Amino acid sequence: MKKIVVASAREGAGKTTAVIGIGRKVSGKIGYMKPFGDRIYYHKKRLWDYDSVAVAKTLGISEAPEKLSIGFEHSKLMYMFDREGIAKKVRELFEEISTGKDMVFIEGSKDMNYGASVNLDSFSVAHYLQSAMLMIFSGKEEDIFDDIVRCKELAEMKGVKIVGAIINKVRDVNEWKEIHVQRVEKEGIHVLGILPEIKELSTITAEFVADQLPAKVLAGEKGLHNEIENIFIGAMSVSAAIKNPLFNKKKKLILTSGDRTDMVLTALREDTSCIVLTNNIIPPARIREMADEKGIPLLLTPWDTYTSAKKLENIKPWISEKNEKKMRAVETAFESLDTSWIMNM
Amino acid sequence: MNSLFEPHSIAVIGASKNPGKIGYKIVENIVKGGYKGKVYPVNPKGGTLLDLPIHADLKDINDEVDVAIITIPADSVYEAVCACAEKKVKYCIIISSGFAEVGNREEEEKIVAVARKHGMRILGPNVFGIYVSKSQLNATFGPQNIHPGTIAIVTQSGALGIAMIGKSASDNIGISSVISVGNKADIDEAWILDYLKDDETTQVILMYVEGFKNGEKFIESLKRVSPKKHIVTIKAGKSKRGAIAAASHTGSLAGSDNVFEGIATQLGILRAENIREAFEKSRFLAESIFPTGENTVVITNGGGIGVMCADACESYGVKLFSDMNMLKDIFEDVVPDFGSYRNPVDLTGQATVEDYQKALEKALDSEAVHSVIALYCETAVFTQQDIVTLVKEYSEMFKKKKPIVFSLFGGEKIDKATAQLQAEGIKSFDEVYDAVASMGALYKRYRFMQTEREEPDNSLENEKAIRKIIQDAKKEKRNVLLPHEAKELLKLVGIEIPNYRVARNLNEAVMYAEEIGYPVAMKIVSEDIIHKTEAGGVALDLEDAEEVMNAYQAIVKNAAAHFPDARIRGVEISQMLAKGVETIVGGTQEPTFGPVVMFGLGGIYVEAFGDVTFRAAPVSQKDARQMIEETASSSILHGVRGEKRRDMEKIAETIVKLGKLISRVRELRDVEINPLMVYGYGEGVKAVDVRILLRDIK
Repeated sequence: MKKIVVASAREGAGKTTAVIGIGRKVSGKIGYMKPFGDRIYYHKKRLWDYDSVAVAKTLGISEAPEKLSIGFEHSKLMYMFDREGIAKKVRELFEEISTGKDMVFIEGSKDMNYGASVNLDSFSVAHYLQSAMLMIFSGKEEDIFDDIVRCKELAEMKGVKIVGAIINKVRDVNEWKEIHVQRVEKEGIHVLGILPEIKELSTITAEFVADQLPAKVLAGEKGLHNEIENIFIGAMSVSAAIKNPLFNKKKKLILTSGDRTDMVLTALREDTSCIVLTNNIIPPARIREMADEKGIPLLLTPWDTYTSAKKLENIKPWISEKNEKKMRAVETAFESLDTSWIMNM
Repeated sequence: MNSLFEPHSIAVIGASKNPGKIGYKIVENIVKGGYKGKVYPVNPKGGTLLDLPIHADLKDINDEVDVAIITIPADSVYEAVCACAEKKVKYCIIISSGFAEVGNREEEEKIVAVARKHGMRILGPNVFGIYVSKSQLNATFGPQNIHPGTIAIVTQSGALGIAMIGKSASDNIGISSVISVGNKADIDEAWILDYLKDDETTQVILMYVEGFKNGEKFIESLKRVSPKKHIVTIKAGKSKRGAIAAASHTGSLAGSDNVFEGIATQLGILRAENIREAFEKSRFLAESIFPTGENTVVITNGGGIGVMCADACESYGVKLFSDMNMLKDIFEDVVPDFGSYRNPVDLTGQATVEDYQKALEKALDSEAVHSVIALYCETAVFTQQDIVTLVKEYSEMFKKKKPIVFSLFGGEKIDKATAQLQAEGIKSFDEVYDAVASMGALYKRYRFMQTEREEPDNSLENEKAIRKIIQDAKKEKRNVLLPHEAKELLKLVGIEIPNYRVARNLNEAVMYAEEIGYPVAMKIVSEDIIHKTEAGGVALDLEDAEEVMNAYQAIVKNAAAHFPDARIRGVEISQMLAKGVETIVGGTQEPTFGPVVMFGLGGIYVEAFGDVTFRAAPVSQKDARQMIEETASSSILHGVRGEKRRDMEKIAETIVKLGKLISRVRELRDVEINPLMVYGYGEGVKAVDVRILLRDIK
């Protein structure tokens, strides 16, 4: 049985995507765990990691998602485990998960430091399990170089081996191959692949916005899978809005106060993916009916427009097993990735 | 004796010889109205007006002046008021406009200041004058032919007031006085009400109000007057409370009209939607005797109109006499075989004048019948004169014994009969609902007068400790109390709350949950997160340590994700209460009327149904019980479908306690308990959640 800790230096580098991409390429039964859960989903008094669900569903993992993480918050881990206790718990979880599996992916915490104070950072986990690590890097070149050096130091300190790195979300793959790879290799990290940004992954849907804000769906449910690529804040008059090029773009989310009937009506006549209504103001029935007819979701938030805009800005797209288009895009992106190194582990 | 209403002498400053001017019209109305006191027209031009010498200056009048009426342009009014003060005039009626109503507040304040300094009172500015029947004084520029009577009209709108005088004259309605209050720079409704309270010529006070300068003072005055006189109000301006509304349900539901509605019920004040209704109710109250009980009988010649009348009685709270045996005894002899002695008593379409007479006499004679609604649908059996005679005779016969209303419905014959009756000063209604509305108004007053009034207790225990909590929050420049502070405050007031603790970490959360006992509820504590449920900051019904740990992590993570800048003070762990009926009890400082309390069906239904009622605080236990009964959802509290009745006494106690709190501690802006969980009779209530906002810190 093979095992690997998939870690990153910074949040949102693409660990989950890498697990799914590689997991779909390799044969045999796959296991997965994410000791320090992060993107939480709390429902019916149960708590699990959103990424775990996506991975479990995509890779055919049978364990219940809440069994794949040990904790989600420092205070719980601090309350329940000391250094020995956490190591023991990680190993126990691994034992459970790995039984009958050919390969187990252990997803690290959100960045290279996260969890260090409760001994559950990615490097510690790799150390407890004596597992090799696959690093996923993304961002500006200079940040990546810094991260590589620091990660290597951390790995050495913990006595774990980094099998290599995937440089993810790269704008110019050729430039990386021709100029930067050598520098990384020189630091002693083998570059296993350079992957371009998967555009499809950066889109969010109206349903995701409703989930993340969170907002109540008032109408237009049949358009919940509408994709959003642009956000427009309708704080001006309609005549000023329609002159704005952003307003005329497709796949847009319009954010406006619930009492801006004029703005909502205009948005409903445009190619709009969804409308977020702020201040808990429910628009008149005819508008809700029109949204139903057009399949444009109306999402209601209790917050004012400024707060809602801030919250909207913070929404980062997550990968979801429900979005087949995204899944296909991941498969395509990882097709070219050489995974022969797994055989050699 | 009050010199404004019974002056010995009046000066009209700005008296004019030009019949087109207000300064002429007022002098003319005073003189032609038969005023017996002295009238002194004042105008620098001098001369005579309606055989009265015009004085060039107020100083020239060699007599005391009780009332000065000022009709000159606004920019000269101050000077005139100063002259009046010097002359020791008691009251100035400032007809002139151009003051606060157009933004010229400064001039108005200057006038009031000089008046106050000299002990002089101001009516107005921007009024049309005053009419007082007992003084035969018509010092208005309105119509002349006012019928003396027992209705006093107090109006904020000048134009509407003049129109109301005209309407009262054409409808033959008797008026005791008409006072226009205008800008209420000094004298306001409250002062006038206090005068009218002891005015023997007034039985009913009809008020048109748009807004109140000092709602609390007005309420205090209404409390004194309402047990002595009927008050009918038309209140215009049903606007909602402004921007702070969103902060609490109590605030948002306390549109001043909702509040006024509650206060009107509390104080036995009648409301009218329009002037016609106000006049009809006022007139009926002025002319009718009080009933001695609630058995109302409807006498009709049409089944359909009888059914409509029964519906109207239900709508307006008129109780139909329903003792079939007694009804049979009383009416069996006068009802034809194919008619009905059941209430409504149907004399059938063939009923003659004699049949009506017999039925009405039976109703009049029977001690079991306390009031009568007589309906008549036009038939060929009656002549126009028959109708007139019947209504006239029986109105007179009932007058001193029992209340009666007539509703006549039909064509030309009925219209003519109604007009003839009106000319003779007798009211009949064409619309049955209007007739019943007037009877309903009388019964409202009857019930108010029958109810023993309970003075609310305004003492507050632990006031010092309560103020300390508020002071501590103010020190931190907060205008919202943190949940644990709000709960402590409720405890001090004596309102029961579930056990709770605030945990600052997971260890504490689990420890406190074990201490309190499962199941527990958890909630983020942060003044920066208002919509806690929406922000994922609430978890309910947690049954063991694992569920508490899951919830704690979710709550803390959600708060950090949704509100990264929020100040998190911990997570509140509280006892999860058993399900009861969720109600809402709130208190707010209403901008117009001051402290008020609210009660209604709570939880998620508050916004959807808005089934709430208000009262001016403090309230008595009786007021509080009436509030509960008044809501549409009181039936739920009484127990539906075999459920036990709920502990309404404890709800009432909670309302009373909150009323004391909000009226004593004015620093509190909104106190809202939602939900107040109500259990079975004798099992009490518990305040599950409370939100307390303080008045803004300047």
